[in-house]
Amino acid sequence: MGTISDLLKKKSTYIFLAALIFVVILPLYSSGYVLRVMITMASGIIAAMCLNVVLGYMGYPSLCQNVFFGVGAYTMALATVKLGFSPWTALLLSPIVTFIIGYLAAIPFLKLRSMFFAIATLAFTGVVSAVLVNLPKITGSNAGLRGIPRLVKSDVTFFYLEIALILVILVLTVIMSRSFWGKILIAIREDEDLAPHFGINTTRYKRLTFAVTSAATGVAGAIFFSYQTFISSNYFTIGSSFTALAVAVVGGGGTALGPIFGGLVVVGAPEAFRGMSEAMSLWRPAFVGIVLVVVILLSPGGIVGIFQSVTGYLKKRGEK
Amino acid sequence: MITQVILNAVVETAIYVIMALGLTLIFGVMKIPNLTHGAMYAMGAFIHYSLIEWFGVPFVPALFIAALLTFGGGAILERVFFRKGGGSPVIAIIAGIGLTYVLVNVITNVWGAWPLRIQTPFRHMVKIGSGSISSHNIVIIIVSIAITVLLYGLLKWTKFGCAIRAVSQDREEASLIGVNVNTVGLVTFAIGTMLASIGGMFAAPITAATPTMGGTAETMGFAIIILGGMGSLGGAIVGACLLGFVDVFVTSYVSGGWGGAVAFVFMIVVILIRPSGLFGKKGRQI
Repeated sequence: MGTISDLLKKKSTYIFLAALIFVVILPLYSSGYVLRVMITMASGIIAAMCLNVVLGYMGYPSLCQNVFFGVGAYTMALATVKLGFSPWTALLLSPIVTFIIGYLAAIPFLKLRSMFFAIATLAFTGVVSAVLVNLPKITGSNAGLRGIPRLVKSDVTFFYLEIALILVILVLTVIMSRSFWGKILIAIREDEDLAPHFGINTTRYKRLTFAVTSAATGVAGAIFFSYQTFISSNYFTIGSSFTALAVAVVGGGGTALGPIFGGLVVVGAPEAFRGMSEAMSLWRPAFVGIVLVVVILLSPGGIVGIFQSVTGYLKKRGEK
Repeated sequence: MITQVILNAVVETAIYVIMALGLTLIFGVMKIPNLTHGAMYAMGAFIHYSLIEWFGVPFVPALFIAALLTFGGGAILERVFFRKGGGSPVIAIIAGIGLTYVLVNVITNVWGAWPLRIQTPFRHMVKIGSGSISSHNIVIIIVSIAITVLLYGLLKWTKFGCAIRAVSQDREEASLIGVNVNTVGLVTFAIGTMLASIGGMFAAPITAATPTMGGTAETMGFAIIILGGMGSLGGAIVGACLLGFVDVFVTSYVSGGWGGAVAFVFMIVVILIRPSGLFGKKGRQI
């Protein structure tokens, strides 16, 4: 591990600090609409960062990230609206509930691999979405639950809260990827049948990773819907489960920073164009779809992959 | 009541069979899940609608023209996008999601998000016991059986069908003995897509056509072929029967919204016990 003086010598540290200061100052000068877009984007990024650990490091294409986002959010909503807890207590509850549900879901689904895992988790999303729609007395169904209390008053503070969560997850992901745990996940991704021969209990690591990332997603869901103060089953359809995967893949799977770039492109760019013209808002999903197809077919490493190959190319030219 | 429920279940099964056969055929040959299946299911219904309403083509010829158009559409999808994925299922899943976004968006912007109803010429009601069935539904059952027989014949007795079976068993071996693997993939994908759109065309007069009608149908299609064993044609038919009956019985006797959910739970339970599905075998798949 590098000391502080090591970090000070690196160029990337300064770029990172500059970006951080920019992100902290930005909301103070932006309109309410822009702030809203940024908060939506931040919550999408958190969900994708959690999925990135499961997809990018462990190699399991999960299509039920949105379920955990929803479980966290509904824990928040039900605990505050129906049970009368304070929002901060509910925020503590939501990762616990999502962790348990994530762990229970991991037991059956992680026995499956590759596309079977993807499709089983897709069906799981279908089941959860049907449960949300069909229990109107508890979940409010399509009409939804209103009046979820806000964690903090101002939108700007909400934005900082999400940035803080992103930073925490980013640091944890980097530490995780350099630790023994990260090596095990990569071993599972590269050859799951071989890994147990080195004495790795793959099942335990897989389940724990899945449950922990689910819990973090649950926190993001709780924060976002506390900001929104309103939740309904319309947010959690089968189709909506693809967004997190799109963000993670476009950014670059298996890299800590990837989902942040992915969020900027997949969630941010279409919103930015929406203000420009009527047509852009009509064709927004198609834009996302085209970006997704082009990125996955031309550069499976995502945006980070493109960066890396460009900088690699420039370095080579510099050496000549 | 029970006669009516069984009749409904048979009709639902017939639609699922048409669609799931396409899905399992594509999986058997290309070894990728086709996530554009649902979008092409909807696309078929909307192309059919516009042929009837905009160009005044009668119902039955419009079916054939729309099927041919989606056959071409499927060929384009395979040639331009899915072949580039190099057979990796994860790349195919993500490319499929992206293409679904585009296709559903195109449908929404061209035809609008409101449900469209297609008038079927088969409106006669037939009484069977205490239940009744419309002649449109009888046509669906006949078409479904005809497609199954034709597909079986194609795979069993034609040279091209033999090539399809060879590729589904072992892609590399097949190319070694002179089968053009790319052509087989292209045609199979096009046939599969055409079957999806035929399913959509027959479902639309019953349920009305909406841009997102394919989403649930596609997930159900995957549940069916996973249940039956991916790549197995017989498994797809049995899976469609099981899930069709579970869906309709739960919908009729419990509550409208739970049918799909119970069918998915049923599938999840089956794959936990037998991950390769009811009829899935390693190696031999069609």
